[in-house]
Amino acid sequence: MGDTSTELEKELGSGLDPNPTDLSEAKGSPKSNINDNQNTPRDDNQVEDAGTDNLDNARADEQDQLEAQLSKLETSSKALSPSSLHNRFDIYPNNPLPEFDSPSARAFKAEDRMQPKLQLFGLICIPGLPVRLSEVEKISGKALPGNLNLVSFGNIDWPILGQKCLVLIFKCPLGGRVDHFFKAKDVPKKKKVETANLIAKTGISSLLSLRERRLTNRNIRPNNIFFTDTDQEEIIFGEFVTSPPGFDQSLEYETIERGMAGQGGRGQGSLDDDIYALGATLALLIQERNPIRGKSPEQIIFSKIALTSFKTLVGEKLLTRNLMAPIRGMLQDNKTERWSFEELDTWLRGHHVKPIKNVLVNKSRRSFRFGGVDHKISRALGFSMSTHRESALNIIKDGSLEEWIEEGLQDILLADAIKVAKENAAAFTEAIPHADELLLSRVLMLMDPKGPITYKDISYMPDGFGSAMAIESLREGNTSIYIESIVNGVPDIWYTISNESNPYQHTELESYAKMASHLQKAGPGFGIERCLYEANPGCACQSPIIVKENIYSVSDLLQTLNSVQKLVDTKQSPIDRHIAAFIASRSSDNMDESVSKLGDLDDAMATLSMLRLLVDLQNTMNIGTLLGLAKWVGGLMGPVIRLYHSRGKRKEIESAVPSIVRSGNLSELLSLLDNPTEKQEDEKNYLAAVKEYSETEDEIEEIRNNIGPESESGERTSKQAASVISGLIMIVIIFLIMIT
Amino acid sequence: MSENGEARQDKKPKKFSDGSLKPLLWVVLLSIILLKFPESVVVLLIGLLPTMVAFVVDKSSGKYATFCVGSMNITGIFPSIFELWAGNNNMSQAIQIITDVFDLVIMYGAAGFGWILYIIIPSAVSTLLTIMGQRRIARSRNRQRELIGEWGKDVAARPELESGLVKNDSSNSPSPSVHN
Repeated sequence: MGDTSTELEKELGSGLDPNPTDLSEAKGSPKSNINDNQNTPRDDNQVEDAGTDNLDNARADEQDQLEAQLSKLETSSKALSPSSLHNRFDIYPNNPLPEFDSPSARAFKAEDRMQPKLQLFGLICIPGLPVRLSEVEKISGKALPGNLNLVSFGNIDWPILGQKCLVLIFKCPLGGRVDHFFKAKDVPKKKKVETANLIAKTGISSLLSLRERRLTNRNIRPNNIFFTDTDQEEIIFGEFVTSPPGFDQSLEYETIERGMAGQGGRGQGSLDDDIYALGATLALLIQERNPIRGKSPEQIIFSKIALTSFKTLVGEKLLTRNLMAPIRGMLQDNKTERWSFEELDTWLRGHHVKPIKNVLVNKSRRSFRFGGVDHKISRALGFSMSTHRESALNIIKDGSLEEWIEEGLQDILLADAIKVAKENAAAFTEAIPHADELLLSRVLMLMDPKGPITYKDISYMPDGFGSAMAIESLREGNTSIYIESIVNGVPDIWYTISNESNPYQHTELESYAKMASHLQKAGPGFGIERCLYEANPGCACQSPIIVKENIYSVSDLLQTLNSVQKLVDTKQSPIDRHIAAFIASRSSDNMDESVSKLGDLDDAMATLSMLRLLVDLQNTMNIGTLLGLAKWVGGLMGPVIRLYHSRGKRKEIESAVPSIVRSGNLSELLSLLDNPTEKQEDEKNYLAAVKEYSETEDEIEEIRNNIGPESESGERTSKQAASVISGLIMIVIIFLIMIT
Repeated sequence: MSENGEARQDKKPKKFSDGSLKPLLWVVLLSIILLKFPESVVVLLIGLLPTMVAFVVDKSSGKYATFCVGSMNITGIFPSIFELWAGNNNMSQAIQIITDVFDLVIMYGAAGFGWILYIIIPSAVSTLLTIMGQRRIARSRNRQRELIGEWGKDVAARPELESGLVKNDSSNSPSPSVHN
C-alpha cells in the first residue's frame, strides 16, 4: 500500500476540520482570526473589525500546536501491522478513512474478527486531549437511536505515534456526510428539503435518546451528520466523545454565551444547547448561500447579540420555509424562550406551536464607542471589553462606562453595581493582588451575567473550567491564569452575579471550592495537577513516566508502571506529581492523606509513603505479582533501609529484598521494611548503644585525666605509692632487725 | 535569766577542757618521756633531723615526702635505738651514738634513701599507671569502634546533644519510631 497518509495530508491540509466547508469557516475561538474581516458598516447591528490583539497571535500559536498533534496521527510509515483491541478488533494504520475523520480524531479501517463482514472504523483520539469518558462508557455497546453506534473502545498500541491511543470503534455510515450532499449541485432541491426534514426529525429523536441517558451531544453540526445507507434515506448523528463538549464546534453552532467562551471552555452544557446547535445546523443547511460567510468570530457574536441568532444565521435564500418555525424556536437566544422537547414533539406531530414572543434587548439611545466599534448593547460592549482589557479598565475607572449605562442604557441598577464594585476594588487595591483584573472581571460579569467567566485573557463557562485548563495544558499555554482565577474566587463572583438557576450549581461550586483547597497545598497529589484530573475525568495521566501509555483509570496504573519499568529511569520514583494527583483524583477512596505524605522532606519517609501507597493500590485493585514494579521500587528502598540504625539489620534486609522483588509482592516488601516491632527494637538498641558509647567516652576521659604526667590524681597516687613502699621497707627492716 | 546564766556557766568549763587540755597533755607526756627516756630523746632528736627538715620543706597536703624520708630515717635510727635499749641505756651511750659517724651515716643515709624513694617511686608508679590506663583506653576504643561499626557514626553523638537535636527536629521530622 502506498503512503496514503501523505496524500491525505495534501488533501486535508493541516487544519483541524477534515472536511472544511463554508459553514465552518468561523470555527474556533472567538478571539482567533480577529482581523479576518475589515469591511463592516459602523452601526448598532453590524460591527467593525475588532482590532489587533497580541493575545490572538499567542492563541494562534497554541492552535498550531494542537494541529501538530493531530497531524502526527496521520503520519504513517509503510506496511504497519494492525493493532488489536480486546483481541477482537483489528485497526489498520495503513488504511485511513478520512471520510469518517473527526476534527479531533482520525479514522482508520477496523475489523471485527467475530463478524468480519461488519463495516467498522476506529477513531484514534489525540493523546492528551480530554475525551468524554463517562459518555463513552455510557453509550458503548448500546443502541442510541439516531446516533452513531459505539461498538467498543479501549487503548491500543498505535504504531504511527509509537504510543498507546484511545480508539473508538464505530459502525460505518454508508451514505457519506450530509454537508457534502447539501453542497452537491446535482441533488434536487426537493430531495434536500426532504433530507433537512429528516435531519430535524432524526435530530430530535437522537436528542431524546440522549436525554434518557442524561447525556448531551454538544457536537451537532452539518459535517457530523451522516447518511446510514447508500440510498441516503436515513440519517445518523456522528460521534461526540473524542473531544471536550463544544470543542470541535464552529462558533455558529454554539449559543452566544458558550461561543464567547474559549474553545476549550465551552462547557458540558445541556440539551438546550444541543437544540440550539440542531437549529443552527438546519438553518445553515437549508440556505443556498451562507449568511455568515466571511465574518470573523467576533462579528458573528456581535451579530448574534445585536440581531439575535436567528437573524444572524438565517438569510434570504432558503430552500424551504417549512422549517422556519422550528428553526426560529430552536435558535432562541433566551433559554427559557427556546423550544423544548415538548414544543418539538408538538411540531413533529404536525400541530401548531404558539409563536415566540420577541424579547426586546435593552439598547442605549446613544452609542458607546469602544475597540473601534459603536456599542448600544451592554452585552456586546462587555464582550468587546473582554478582548481589550486594558482599555476596558480605563473606561471603568474614568467613569465613562457608568455614565453611559446610567444615561444611555438607563440601567441604574447596573450602574450602581459597577460603582460599588469600583469602590470595593479601590478599598482593597493594596491588599488584593490583581485587584484591577478582578474589578474588570466583575464588571464584565455584571454586564453579561449569562456570559462566561472571564479573567485576564481567558474565559470559560462555569461547567467548562476543566476542559479549558486541559486544552491550555495540552497547548503548553499558561495554565497559571486558570489557577489564578480559582484562587481569586472568580467563579464565585460569577455564581453570585448570575441569576440563572442551574441544577448543577451546588455541585459546581463545591467542585471549585475543592480545587481552591487543592491549590493551597503544594505537595504531590495537589496543586494544578490535581485540578487537571479532578476537573477532567476523561484526561489521561500526563506523567512523563506513563504519558505514552495513555491511561484513564487508576486500575490500569500499577500494571502500566510495571510494564514501563524497563523503559524509564528507575532511579526516579514511580509516583511523580502527575501520578499522585491522578491517584488522588481517580480513586474511589480518599487518598489525600496518603499522597500528602509523598512530599515528606525526609527522603526515606517519602519513599516509604510511596511504597505504602503502591501496596494500598495493589491490595485495593487486587492486582497480582508486579515483577517490574517490585524491582523498580526495590531499587529505591535504600533510604528506607537506612531508617534502621543497625548495620547488621540493614544487611539482613538488603539480602532479603532481592528474593521478595523476584516474588513481585509489594506487600511483602513493605512488611520487611516497615516492621514496627523491629523498628522499635532497633531504636531501643540504638539508644542503648549511644548511651554506652557516651559512657565509654567518659571513662576514657577519666582515665586520661588520672594517668597523665601532669595529672594531680596520678601524682598523688604515685606519691602515696612511694609512701606506702617506704613504710613497708621500714617495717620489713625493723622486723628483720628484731628477729636477728 | 537565771536559766541562761546557768547555761553559759555550763559551756565555759567544757570549752576549756576541749581546747586547752590537749597541748597540755602533750607537754605533760613529752615532759614525762623527756624525763623518763632522755637518752632516747637525744638520739631521736639528732637522728630525726632529716625528717624534721623534710617536714618543713614538704608543702604537700599528704606530707608524702616526710612520710618517705621519715620511714627510712626511722629505719636508719632503729639499730642505734635498739642498741641503746638493749645495752647501756644512759646518756653517755646516747652521746656516743650521736657522735659515732658510722651511726650518723646510717641514720642520715637511710633518710637520703627515703628521699631517693620519694623521687624514683612516683615516676615509676606513674609510668605503670599510664601503661595500665592506655590499655584500658584501647579496650574502650575497641568497644566504641564496634558500636560505630554496628550503629554508624551517629552513635557517637552525645546523648545530651542528641536529645537536644531531637527536641529541635521534632517539629519538622518526627523520629523514626514515631512513624511506626
